[in-house]
Amino acid sequence: MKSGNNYSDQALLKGLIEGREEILLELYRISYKTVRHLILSNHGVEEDAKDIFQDAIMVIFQKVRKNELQLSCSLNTYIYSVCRNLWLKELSLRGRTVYQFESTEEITDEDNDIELWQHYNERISFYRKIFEELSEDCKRILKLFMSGETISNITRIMGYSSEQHTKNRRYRCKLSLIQRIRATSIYNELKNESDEDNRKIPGWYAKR
Amino acid sequence: MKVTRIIEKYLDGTLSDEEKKEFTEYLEKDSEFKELLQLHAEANRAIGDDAFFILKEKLNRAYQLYETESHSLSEIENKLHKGFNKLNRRILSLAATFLLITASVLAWYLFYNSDTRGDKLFADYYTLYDPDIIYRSFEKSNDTWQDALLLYKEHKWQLADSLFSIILNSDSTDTAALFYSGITDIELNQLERAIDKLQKIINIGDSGYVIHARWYLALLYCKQNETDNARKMLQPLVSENNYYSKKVRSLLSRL
Repeated sequence: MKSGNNYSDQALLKGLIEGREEILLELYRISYKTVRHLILSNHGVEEDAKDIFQDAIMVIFQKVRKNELQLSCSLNTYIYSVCRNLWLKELSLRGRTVYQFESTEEITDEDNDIELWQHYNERISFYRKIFEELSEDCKRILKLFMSGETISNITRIMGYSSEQHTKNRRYRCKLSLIQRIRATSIYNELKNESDEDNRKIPGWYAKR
Repeated sequence: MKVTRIIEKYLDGTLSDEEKKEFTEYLEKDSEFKELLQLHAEANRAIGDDAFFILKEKLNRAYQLYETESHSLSEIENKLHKGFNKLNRRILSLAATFLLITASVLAWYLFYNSDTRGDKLFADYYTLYDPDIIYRSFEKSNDTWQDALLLYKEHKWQLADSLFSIILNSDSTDTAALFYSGITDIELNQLERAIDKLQKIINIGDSGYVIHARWYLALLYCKQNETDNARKMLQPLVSENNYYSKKVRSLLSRL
Protein backbone atom coordinates (compact mmCIF):
# COMPACT_ATOMS: atom_id res chain seq x y z
CA MET A 1 0.00 0.00 0.00
CA LYS A 2 1.26 3.46 -0.93
CA SER A 3 0.90 6.58 1.18
CA GLY A 4 0.71 9.04 -1.69
CA ASN A 5 4.47 9.46 -1.82
CA ASN A 6 7.48 7.96 -3.50
CA TYR A 7 7.81 5.09 -1.06
CA SER A 8 5.53 2.15 -0.38
CA ASP A 9 4.39 1.72 3.22
CA GLN A 10 6.61 -1.34 3.51
CA ALA A 11 9.60 0.68 2.31
CA LEU A 12 8.81 3.39 4.84
CA LEU A 13 8.58 0.87 7.69
CA LYS A 14 11.82 -0.78 6.57
CA GLY A 15 13.53 2.61 6.43
CA LEU A 16 12.19 3.44 9.86
CA ILE A 17 13.72 0.31 11.35
CA GLU A 18 17.00 1.09 9.60
CA GLY A 19 16.86 4.66 10.91
CA ARG A 20 17.25 6.16 7.43
CA GLU A 21 17.02 9.93 7.80
CA GLU A 22 15.40 10.55 4.39
CA ILE A 23 12.62 8.15 5.38
CA LEU A 24 12.06 9.94 8.68
CA LEU A 25 11.79 13.22 6.78
CA GLU A 26 9.33 11.58 4.40
CA LEU A 27 7.19 10.45 7.34
CA TYR A 28 7.00 14.08 8.46
CA ARG A 29 6.06 15.15 4.95
CA ILE A 30 3.22 12.66 4.55
CA SER A 31 1.73 12.74 8.05
CA TYR A 32 2.80 15.64 10.22
CA LYS A 33 0.56 18.32 8.76
CA THR A 34 -2.68 16.50 9.62
CA VAL A 35 -1.43 15.46 13.04
CA ARG A 36 -0.41 19.03 13.79
CA HIS A 37 -3.83 20.28 12.70
CA LEU A 38 -5.55 17.70 14.90
CA ILE A 39 -3.58 18.71 17.97
CA LEU A 40 -3.67 22.47 17.47
CA SER A 41 -7.45 22.21 16.99
CA ASN A 42 -7.78 20.37 20.29
CA HIS A 43 -6.10 22.43 23.00
CA GLY A 44 -2.58 21.57 21.91
CA VAL A 45 0.42 23.69 20.98
CA GLU A 46 3.28 23.16 18.51
CA GLU A 47 5.40 21.40 21.12
CA ASP A 48 2.57 18.94 21.85
CA ALA A 49 2.26 18.15 18.13
CA LYS A 50 5.99 17.56 17.88
CA ASP A 51 6.04 15.30 20.97
CA ILE A 52 2.95 13.29 20.09
CA PHE A 53 4.17 12.69 16.55
CA GLN A 54 7.58 11.52 17.75
CA ASP A 55 6.00 9.34 20.46
CA ALA A 56 3.80 7.74 17.81
CA ILE A 57 6.73 7.03 15.50
CA MET A 58 8.70 5.48 18.37
CA VAL A 59 5.72 3.28 19.27
CA ILE A 60 5.42 2.17 15.64
CA PHE A 61 9.17 1.51 15.59
CA GLN A 62 8.84 -0.81 18.60
CA LYS A 63 5.85 -2.62 17.15
CA VAL A 64 7.55 -3.17 13.79
CA ARG A 65 10.68 -4.43 15.54
CA LYS A 66 8.56 -6.95 17.44
CA ASN A 67 6.67 -7.98 14.29
CA GLU A 68 3.49 -6.78 15.96
CA LEU A 69 2.35 -4.38 13.27
CA GLN A 70 -0.15 -5.64 10.70
CA LEU A 71 -1.38 -2.65 8.72
CA SER A 72 -5.03 -2.83 7.72
CA CYS A 73 -4.99 0.76 6.44
CA SER A 74 -2.39 3.07 4.92
CA LEU A 75 0.62 3.94 7.05
CA ASN A 76 -0.41 7.59 6.91
CA THR A 77 -3.82 6.73 8.39
CA TYR A 78 -2.23 4.49 10.96
CA ILE A 79 0.18 7.19 12.12
CA TYR A 80 -2.74 9.61 12.39
CA SER A 81 -4.73 7.08 14.43
CA VAL A 82 -1.85 6.40 16.81
CA CYS A 83 -1.35 10.14 17.31
CA ARG A 84 -5.06 10.61 17.89
CA ASN A 85 -5.10 7.87 20.53
CA LEU A 86 -2.06 9.27 22.28
CA TRP A 87 -3.41 12.79 22.20
CA LEU A 88 -6.83 11.68 23.53
CA LYS A 89 -5.07 10.01 26.43
CA GLU A 90 -2.94 13.08 27.06
CA LEU A 91 -6.02 15.32 27.01
CA SER A 92 -7.82 13.12 29.49
CA LEU A 93 -4.79 13.36 31.78
CA ARG A 94 -4.97 17.13 31.44
CA GLY A 95 -8.72 17.04 32.13
CA ARG A 96 -9.67 18.56 28.78
CA THR A 97 -12.57 17.73 26.48
CA VAL A 98 -12.19 17.11 22.80
CA TYR A 99 -14.25 18.89 20.19
CA GLN A 100 -12.76 18.28 16.78
CA PHE A 101 -11.51 14.90 15.74
CA GLU A 102 -11.51 14.04 12.09
CA SER A 103 -13.06 10.78 11.12
CA THR A 104 -10.53 8.15 10.21
CA GLU A 105 -10.23 4.41 9.92
CA GLU A 106 -10.38 2.81 13.33
CA ILE A 107 -7.42 1.10 14.85
CA THR A 108 -8.03 -2.59 15.31
CA ASP A 109 -8.39 -4.26 18.69
CA GLU A 110 -4.90 -5.71 18.77
CA ASP A 111 -3.56 -2.16 18.74
CA ASN A 112 -4.68 -1.54 22.29
CA ASP A 113 -1.09 -1.81 23.36
CA ILE A 114 -0.12 1.54 21.80
CA GLU A 115 -0.36 3.27 25.15
CA LEU A 116 1.55 0.45 26.82
CA TRP A 117 4.37 0.80 24.32
CA GLN A 118 4.40 4.53 24.90
CA HIS A 119 4.70 4.01 28.66
CA TYR A 120 7.47 1.50 28.09
CA ASN A 121 9.30 3.98 25.83
CA GLU A 122 8.94 6.66 28.50
CA ARG A 123 10.41 4.38 31.11
CA ILE A 124 13.45 3.28 29.14
CA SER A 125 14.09 6.87 28.03
CA PHE A 126 14.07 7.96 31.65
CA TYR A 127 16.30 5.07 32.75
CA ARG A 128 18.74 5.89 29.94
CA LYS A 129 18.88 9.50 31.12
CA ILE A 130 19.81 8.37 34.64
CA PHE A 131 22.30 5.87 33.18
CA GLU A 132 24.05 8.74 31.36
CA GLU A 133 24.63 10.38 34.76
CA LEU A 134 26.73 7.45 36.03
CA SER A 135 30.53 7.59 36.07
CA GLU A 136 32.28 6.88 32.75
CA ASP A 137 33.66 3.66 34.23
CA CYS A 138 30.24 2.42 35.28
CA LYS A 139 28.68 3.32 31.95
CA ARG A 140 31.42 1.51 30.07
CA ILE A 141 31.26 -1.70 32.08
CA LEU A 142 27.47 -1.89 31.96
CA LYS A 143 27.52 -1.25 28.22
CA LEU A 144 30.09 -3.97 27.69
CA PHE A 145 27.98 -6.46 29.62
CA MET A 146 24.87 -5.53 27.66
CA SER A 147 26.73 -5.96 24.37
CA GLY A 148 27.29 -9.61 25.28
CA GLU A 149 31.06 -9.35 25.66
CA THR A 150 32.63 -12.16 27.68
CA ILE A 151 33.65 -11.52 31.27
CA SER A 152 37.30 -12.24 30.47
CA ASN A 153 37.31 -9.71 27.66
CA ILE A 154 35.59 -7.11 29.80
CA THR A 155 38.14 -7.66 32.56
CA ARG A 156 40.93 -7.08 30.05
CA ILE A 157 39.25 -4.11 28.40
CA MET A 158 38.56 -2.42 31.72
CA GLY A 159 42.04 -3.21 33.03
CA TYR A 160 40.70 -4.91 36.18
CA SER A 161 42.73 -7.36 38.21
CA SER A 162 40.29 -10.28 38.20
CA GLU A 163 37.01 -11.48 36.77
CA GLN A 164 35.52 -11.48 40.25
CA HIS A 165 36.38 -7.81 40.60
CA THR A 166 34.70 -7.16 37.22
CA LYS A 167 31.53 -8.93 38.35
CA ASN A 168 31.45 -7.03 41.65
CA ARG A 169 32.04 -3.74 39.88
CA ARG A 170 29.20 -4.51 37.49
CA TYR A 171 26.79 -5.29 40.33
CA ARG A 172 27.80 -2.14 42.22
CA CYS A 173 27.26 0.00 39.11
CA LYS A 174 23.91 -1.61 38.42
CA LEU A 175 22.86 -1.17 42.03
CA SER A 176 23.86 2.48 41.84
CA LEU A 177 21.74 2.93 38.70
CA ILE A 178 18.72 1.22 40.27
CA GLN A 179 19.02 3.26 43.47
CA ARG A 180 19.26 6.52 41.54
CA ILE A 181 16.20 5.65 39.48
CA ARG A 182 14.14 4.64 42.51
CA ALA A 183 15.10 7.80 44.36
CA THR A 184 13.31 10.00 41.83
CA SER A 185 9.68 11.03 42.03
CA ILE A 186 9.25 10.41 38.29
CA TYR A 187 9.98 6.74 38.87
CA ASN A 188 6.93 6.37 41.12
CA GLU A 189 4.72 7.89 38.43
CA LEU A 190 6.18 5.61 35.77
CA LYS A 191 5.86 2.60 38.06
CA ASN A 192 2.20 3.33 38.72
CA GLU A 193 1.57 3.48 34.96
CA SER A 194 3.42 0.22 34.53
CA ASP A 195 1.41 -1.51 37.29
CA GLU A 196 -1.76 -0.28 35.66
CA ASP A 197 -0.59 -1.58 32.27
CA ASN A 198 0.21 -4.99 33.73
CA ARG A 199 -3.25 -5.14 35.23
CA LYS A 200 -4.91 -4.09 31.97
CA ILE A 201 -3.15 -6.59 29.73
CA PRO A 202 -1.69 -9.43 31.81
CA GLY A 203 1.34 -10.94 30.13
CA TRP A 204 2.06 -7.87 28.03
CA TYR A 205 5.25 -7.27 29.93
CA ALA A 206 6.55 -10.73 29.02
CA LYS A 207 6.00 -10.02 25.32
CA ARG A 208 8.80 -7.51 25.27
CA MET B 1 23.77 -5.97 46.62
CA LYS B 2 22.69 -9.57 47.13
CA VAL B 3 19.33 -8.94 45.50
CA THR B 4 21.00 -7.10 42.62
CA ARG B 5 23.37 -10.00 42.12
CA ILE B 6 20.62 -12.63 42.08
CA ILE B 7 18.43 -10.60 39.70
CA GLU B 8 21.28 -9.94 37.30
CA LYS B 9 22.26 -13.58 37.32
CA TYR B 10 18.64 -14.51 36.63
CA LEU B 11 18.52 -12.08 33.71
CA ASP B 12 21.83 -13.49 32.43
CA GLY B 13 20.48 -17.03 32.80
CA THR B 14 23.36 -18.05 35.04
CA LEU B 15 21.61 -18.91 38.34
CA SER B 16 22.81 -22.07 40.06
CA ASP B 17 20.21 -24.55 41.39
CA GLU B 18 20.67 -23.17 44.90
CA GLU B 19 20.23 -19.61 43.64
CA LYS B 20 17.13 -20.59 41.67
CA LYS B 21 15.49 -21.70 44.93
CA GLU B 22 16.51 -18.46 46.56
CA PHE B 23 15.15 -16.51 43.59
CA THR B 24 11.78 -18.30 43.85
CA GLU B 25 11.61 -17.55 47.57
CA TYR B 26 12.24 -13.88 46.94
CA LEU B 27 9.49 -13.83 44.32
CA GLU B 28 7.03 -15.45 46.71
CA LYS B 29 7.88 -13.58 49.87
CA ASP B 30 9.30 -10.20 48.94
CA SER B 31 6.62 -7.91 47.55
CA GLU B 32 9.17 -5.46 46.17
CA PHE B 33 11.18 -8.12 44.39
CA LYS B 34 8.91 -8.33 41.34
CA GLU B 35 9.08 -4.58 40.88
CA LEU B 36 12.87 -4.69 41.15
CA LEU B 37 13.05 -7.51 38.65
CA GLN B 38 11.10 -5.51 36.08
CA LEU B 39 13.16 -2.41 36.80
CA HIS B 40 16.44 -4.31 36.32
CA ALA B 41 15.24 -5.87 33.08
CA GLU B 42 14.06 -2.56 31.65
CA ALA B 43 17.17 -0.73 32.80
CA ASN B 44 19.20 -3.33 30.90
CA ARG B 45 17.20 -2.61 27.78
CA ALA B 46 17.69 1.11 28.31
CA ILE B 47 21.45 0.54 28.48
CA GLY B 48 21.67 -1.80 25.49
CA ASP B 49 19.08 -0.47 23.05
CA ASP B 50 21.21 2.04 21.12
CA ALA B 51 19.03 1.75 18.00
CA PHE B 52 16.08 3.19 19.93
CA PHE B 53 17.97 6.22 21.21
CA ILE B 54 19.76 6.89 17.93
CA LEU B 55 16.37 6.89 16.17
CA LYS B 56 15.04 9.44 18.68
CA GLU B 57 17.93 11.77 17.86
CA LYS B 58 17.40 11.27 14.14
CA LEU B 59 13.70 12.03 14.51
CA ASN B 60 14.58 15.35 16.12
CA ARG B 61 16.87 16.20 13.24
CA ALA B 62 14.19 15.20 10.71
CA TYR B 63 11.72 17.46 12.50
CA GLN B 64 14.09 20.41 12.32
CA LEU B 65 14.69 19.77 8.64
CA TYR B 66 10.97 19.48 7.99
CA GLU B 67 10.28 22.73 9.86
CA THR B 68 12.97 24.60 7.92
CA GLU B 69 11.58 23.28 4.65
CA SER B 70 7.97 24.19 5.58
CA HIS B 71 8.83 27.69 6.78
CA SER B 72 10.88 28.51 3.69
CA LEU B 73 8.03 27.41 1.45
CA SER B 74 5.33 29.32 3.30
CA GLU B 75 7.43 32.50 3.42
CA ILE B 76 7.89 32.48 -0.33
CA GLU B 77 4.23 31.65 -0.89
CA ASN B 78 3.22 34.63 1.26
CA LYS B 79 5.51 37.04 -0.55
CA LEU B 80 4.31 35.88 -3.94
CA HIS B 81 0.70 35.98 -2.82
CA LYS B 82 0.98 39.63 -1.70
CA GLY B 83 2.49 40.59 -5.01
CA PHE B 84 -0.31 39.04 -6.98
CA ASN B 85 -3.21 40.40 -4.93
CA LYS B 86 -3.93 43.24 -7.34
CA LEU B 87 -4.19 41.15 -10.44
CA ASN B 88 -7.44 39.88 -11.88
CA ARG B 89 -8.80 36.39 -11.30
CA ARG B 90 -7.44 34.92 -14.51
CA ILE B 91 -3.97 36.15 -13.77
CA LEU B 92 -4.33 34.96 -10.20
CA SER B 93 -5.18 31.53 -11.46
CA LEU B 94 -2.05 31.55 -13.60
CA ALA B 95 -0.12 32.86 -10.62
CA ALA B 96 -1.41 30.05 -8.45
CA THR B 97 -0.16 27.55 -11.00
CA PHE B 98 3.15 29.35 -11.12
CA LEU B 99 3.29 29.39 -7.33
CA LEU B 100 2.65 25.70 -7.16
CA ILE B 101 5.41 25.00 -9.65
CA THR B 102 7.75 27.39 -7.85
CA ALA B 103 6.97 25.75 -4.51
CA SER B 104 7.55 22.29 -5.97
CA VAL B 105 10.84 23.38 -7.51
CA LEU B 106 11.82 25.03 -4.25
CA ALA B 107 10.85 21.92 -2.30
CA TRP B 108 12.95 19.88 -4.71
CA TYR B 109 15.78 22.40 -4.36
CA LEU B 110 15.59 22.36 -0.58
CA PHE B 111 15.48 18.62 -0.49
CA TYR B 112 18.35 17.95 -2.83
CA ASN B 113 20.41 21.04 -2.28
CA SER B 114 20.27 21.75 1.44
CA ASP B 115 20.65 19.25 4.22
CA THR B 116 19.94 16.21 2.10
CA ARG B 117 22.50 17.45 -0.43
CA GLY B 118 25.03 17.40 2.38
CA ASP B 119 23.94 13.91 3.30
CA LYS B 120 24.24 12.84 -0.33
CA LEU B 121 27.71 14.27 -0.70
CA PHE B 122 28.74 12.50 2.47
CA ALA B 123 27.23 9.23 1.27
CA ASP B 124 28.91 9.55 -2.13
CA TYR B 125 32.39 10.09 -0.75
CA TYR B 126 32.49 8.45 2.65
CA THR B 127 34.20 5.09 2.86
CA LEU B 128 35.34 3.43 6.04
CA TYR B 129 39.06 3.84 6.67
CA ASP B 130 40.96 0.58 6.29
CA PRO B 131 43.20 0.23 9.36
CA ASP B 132 45.74 -2.19 7.87
CA ILE B 133 48.17 0.40 6.52
CA ILE B 134 48.24 2.56 9.61
CA TYR B 135 48.36 -0.40 11.91
CA ARG B 136 51.50 -1.76 10.26
CA SER B 137 53.24 1.54 9.91
CA PHE B 138 52.82 2.60 13.48
CA GLU B 139 53.51 -0.79 14.97
CA LYS B 140 51.22 -0.30 17.90
CA SER B 141 51.66 -3.57 19.62
CA ASN B 142 49.99 -3.39 23.01
CA ASP B 143 46.92 -5.51 23.73
CA THR B 144 44.46 -2.69 23.99
CA TRP B 145 45.49 -1.37 20.59
CA GLN B 146 45.27 -4.77 18.98
CA ASP B 147 41.85 -5.39 20.52
CA ALA B 148 40.61 -1.95 19.55
CA LEU B 149 41.68 -2.35 15.93
CA LEU B 150 40.24 -5.85 15.78
CA LEU B 151 36.90 -4.54 17.02
CA TYR B 152 37.15 -1.69 14.53
CA LYS B 153 37.73 -4.15 11.69
CA GLU B 154 34.80 -6.24 12.87
CA HIS B 155 32.62 -3.11 12.99
CA LYS B 156 31.88 -3.61 16.68
CA TRP B 157 31.67 0.11 17.13
CA GLN B 158 30.41 0.35 20.69
CA LEU B 159 33.16 -1.90 22.00
CA ALA B 160 35.82 -0.29 19.83
CA ASP B 161 34.73 3.06 21.20
CA SER B 162 35.26 1.80 24.76
CA LEU B 163 38.81 0.72 23.98
CA PHE B 164 39.77 3.88 22.12
CA SER B 165 38.45 5.84 25.10
CA ILE B 166 40.75 3.90 27.39
CA ILE B 167 43.73 4.67 25.15
CA LEU B 168 42.78 8.34 24.98
CA ASN B 169 42.30 8.49 28.75
CA SER B 170 45.95 7.61 29.19
CA ASP B 171 47.14 9.90 26.36
CA SER B 172 44.68 12.40 24.99
CA THR B 173 47.11 13.47 22.25
CA ASP B 174 47.54 10.02 20.71
CA THR B 175 46.66 10.99 17.14
CA ALA B 176 46.17 7.39 16.00
CA ALA B 177 43.63 6.79 18.77
CA LEU B 178 42.01 10.14 18.07
CA PHE B 179 41.67 9.24 14.41
CA TYR B 180 40.19 5.77 14.85
CA SER B 181 38.02 6.95 17.68
CA GLY B 182 36.78 9.75 15.41
CA ILE B 183 35.90 7.31 12.62
CA THR B 184 34.21 5.08 15.20
CA ASP B 185 32.17 8.09 16.32
CA ILE B 186 31.06 8.65 12.72
CA GLU B 187 29.88 5.05 12.56
CA LEU B 188 28.02 5.58 15.83
CA ASN B 189 26.53 8.77 14.40
CA GLN B 190 28.22 10.85 17.10
CA LEU B 191 29.22 13.51 14.61
CA GLU B 192 30.09 16.34 17.01
CA ARG B 193 32.41 14.05 18.92
CA ALA B 194 34.02 12.96 15.66
CA ILE B 195 34.54 16.57 14.59
CA ASP B 196 36.22 17.42 17.92
CA LYS B 197 38.65 14.53 17.64
CA LEU B 198 39.55 15.07 13.99
CA GLN B 199 40.03 18.79 14.60
CA LYS B 200 42.32 17.96 17.51
CA ILE B 201 44.54 15.88 15.21
CA ILE B 202 44.88 18.86 12.88
CA ASN B 203 45.62 21.18 15.81
CA ILE B 204 48.31 18.84 17.10
CA GLY B 205 49.78 18.60 13.57
CA ASP B 206 52.98 16.76 12.76
CA SER B 207 51.30 13.40 12.27
CA GLY B 208 50.53 11.06 9.41
CA TYR B 209 46.88 11.34 10.34
CA VAL B 210 46.48 15.03 9.50
CA ILE B 211 45.67 14.37 5.83
CA HIS B 212 43.12 11.70 6.75
CA ALA B 213 41.64 13.87 9.47
CA ARG B 214 41.23 16.74 6.99
CA TRP B 215 39.44 14.50 4.50
CA TYR B 216 36.99 13.01 6.99
CA LEU B 217 36.45 16.35 8.69
CA ALA B 218 35.60 17.89 5.31
CA LEU B 219 33.06 15.13 4.71
CA LEU B 220 31.49 15.78 8.10
CA TYR B 221 31.24 19.48 7.32
CA CYS B 222 29.61 18.58 3.99
CA LYS B 223 27.10 16.44 5.87
CA GLN B 224 26.31 19.38 8.12
CA ASN B 225 26.08 21.75 5.14
CA GLU B 226 29.01 23.82 6.37
CA THR B 227 30.37 24.22 2.88
CA ASP B 228 32.92 26.94 3.71
CA ASN B 229 34.45 24.86 6.47
CA ALA B 230 34.55 21.85 4.15
CA ARG B 231 36.40 23.91 1.51
CA LYS B 232 38.91 25.15 4.10
CA MET B 233 39.64 21.58 5.11
CA LEU B 234 40.08 20.44 1.51
CA GLN B 235 42.19 23.33 0.15
CA PRO B 236 45.52 22.15 1.61
CA LEU B 237 44.89 18.70 0.14
CA VAL B 238 44.46 19.97 -3.44
CA SER B 239 48.01 21.09 -3.97
CA GLU B 240 49.53 17.99 -2.44
CA ASN B 241 49.82 14.81 -4.42
CA ASN B 242 48.27 12.39 -1.97
CA TYR B 243 45.81 9.54 -1.71
CA TYR B 244 42.86 11.91 -1.62
CA SER B 245 43.90 14.37 -4.39
CA LYS B 246 41.51 13.05 -7.02
CA LYS B 247 38.60 12.73 -4.63
CA VAL B 248 39.29 16.19 -3.22
CA ARG B 249 39.13 17.81 -6.67
CA SER B 250 35.92 15.95 -7.43
CA LEU B 251 34.33 16.92 -4.12
CA LEU B 252 35.39 20.56 -4.42
CA SER B 253 33.78 20.76 -7.84
CA ARG B 254 30.48 19.70 -6.28
CA LEU B 255 30.56 22.13 -3.35
